[in-house]
Amino acid sequence: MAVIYFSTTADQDLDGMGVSYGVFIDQDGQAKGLKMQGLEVGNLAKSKDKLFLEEKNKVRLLGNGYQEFPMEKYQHTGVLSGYIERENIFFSIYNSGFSQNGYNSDVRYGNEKGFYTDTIPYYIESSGLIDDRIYLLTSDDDNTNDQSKFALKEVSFDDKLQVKQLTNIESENGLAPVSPVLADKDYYYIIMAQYQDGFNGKVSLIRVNKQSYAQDMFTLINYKDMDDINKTLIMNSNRSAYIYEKELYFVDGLGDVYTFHSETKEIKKKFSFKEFNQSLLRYDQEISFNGDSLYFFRYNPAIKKHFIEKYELKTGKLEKQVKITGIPEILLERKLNLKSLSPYDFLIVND
Amino acid sequence: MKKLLAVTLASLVVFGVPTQSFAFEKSRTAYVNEIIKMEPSLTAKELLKNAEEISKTQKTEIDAVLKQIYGELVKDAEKAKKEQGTRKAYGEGGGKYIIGVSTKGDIYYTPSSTAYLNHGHVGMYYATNIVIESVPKYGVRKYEKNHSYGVIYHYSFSPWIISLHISRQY
Repeated sequence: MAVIYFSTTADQDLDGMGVSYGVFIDQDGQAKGLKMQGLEVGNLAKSKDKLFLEEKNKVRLLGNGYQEFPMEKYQHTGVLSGYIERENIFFSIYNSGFSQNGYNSDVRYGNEKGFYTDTIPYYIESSGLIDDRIYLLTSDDDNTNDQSKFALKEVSFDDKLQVKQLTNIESENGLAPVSPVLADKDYYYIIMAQYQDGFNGKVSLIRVNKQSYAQDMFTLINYKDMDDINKTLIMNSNRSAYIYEKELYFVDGLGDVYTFHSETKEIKKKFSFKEFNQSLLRYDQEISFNGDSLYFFRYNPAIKKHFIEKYELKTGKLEKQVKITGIPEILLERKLNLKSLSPYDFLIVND
Repeated sequence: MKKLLAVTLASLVVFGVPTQSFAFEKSRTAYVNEIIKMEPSLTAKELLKNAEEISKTQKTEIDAVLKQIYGELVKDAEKAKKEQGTRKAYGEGGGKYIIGVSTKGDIYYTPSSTAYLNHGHVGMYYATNIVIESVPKYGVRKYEKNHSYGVIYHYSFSPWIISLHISRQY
């Protein structure tokens, strides 16, 4: 079973009619929807027996029972959601905007007993949940509008929310994160892109040693003489990269999957999505790594059908393709041309 | 933030000599009413305050400013109507153009929905990939444009509309 999260953008809530949907897909590709009140870039999270859903003024837990937790402070933009198994805490981080003194990234966290709120006083460029730890890549910590300084931080919940600085990250001018923060036994990883102009760009992997904080940089991809560099833009910044069996995988906006071997440092284009539409005009699409596979949610405009495809990471082989029915009917506001809805997250619950 | 806004407004509000001529002249009240019809979330007071500021900066008459604003909105609405026809075809699968990366200082404008074509979503590129956007009712956010997408109308939009949306958030 899979879940796809769709929402209107923050500006479409000006009339209070923003909307979002949790779309649940069963093994036969049948979709069912749960209507919510909207949250741009909302995220999904799961534990062994529960699913976490969020919207501007509420979070929900589904699965073993059903619970709703209304939230006093509304949010308009999501960043990351996840589940910390060790502490039985679901959390969600938001991009809450400029504050009097700087920037706020609010947090909601809790479980079936209830949810609390707090805030992280930084703008978050990227984040990741690895082995029950939350990592943040922040920028402009000192509010001086200097876009070249990044910092790597760790968040913990102990008895209250704590943010700890790990190290600063040296970057070149114009670098932008295009992946979540990842880590293995020895290193932290972040992938960044640099766009020289409208036609050329470079995607680099930055690696930080966990002990010494020494930094390396590797070039993953060079884009040269494209008719429009925007075609390479990734699909989902939280799910574009993943580590599996010593290889770091990265999916770019052209539907190509690259790998970096953490020991040999070999870089290659491992495989590509079948018949990928490399265009500035994008239809519904999302990716999600799960276990030993990469799942691709897509829409074929020629036959007007949604699909979920499953690719095996080791071989790049397309293992399964399931036709999805029912999504246009669920996204009613889009069907009636009242609102514009986009998918923002995709989670495999079991397969 | 205030300094950034001032620079933005100054660079945006560049009214030259109005190039379009209208078949008839309206009274000031009539222009105000027509403009508010096309921009429903606007009050007459807000509009006149904006027009006054522009007239001071540009050293033109308020009536000339109002006429210019009206002309731009009419042009926008006509062009949007043309695009709306093609946009419907993308409905079911959510087809949208990527906004993407741009040059620092560039302004972009994405209309919010088909209901209010000029009720848009305005932002400015703060870095190649980060924009500063007003979020109605909430405030202002920084936002990565690497991976997000929306609808873009491929025509030049009214600079006055943009300055209005940005100034509203402060």
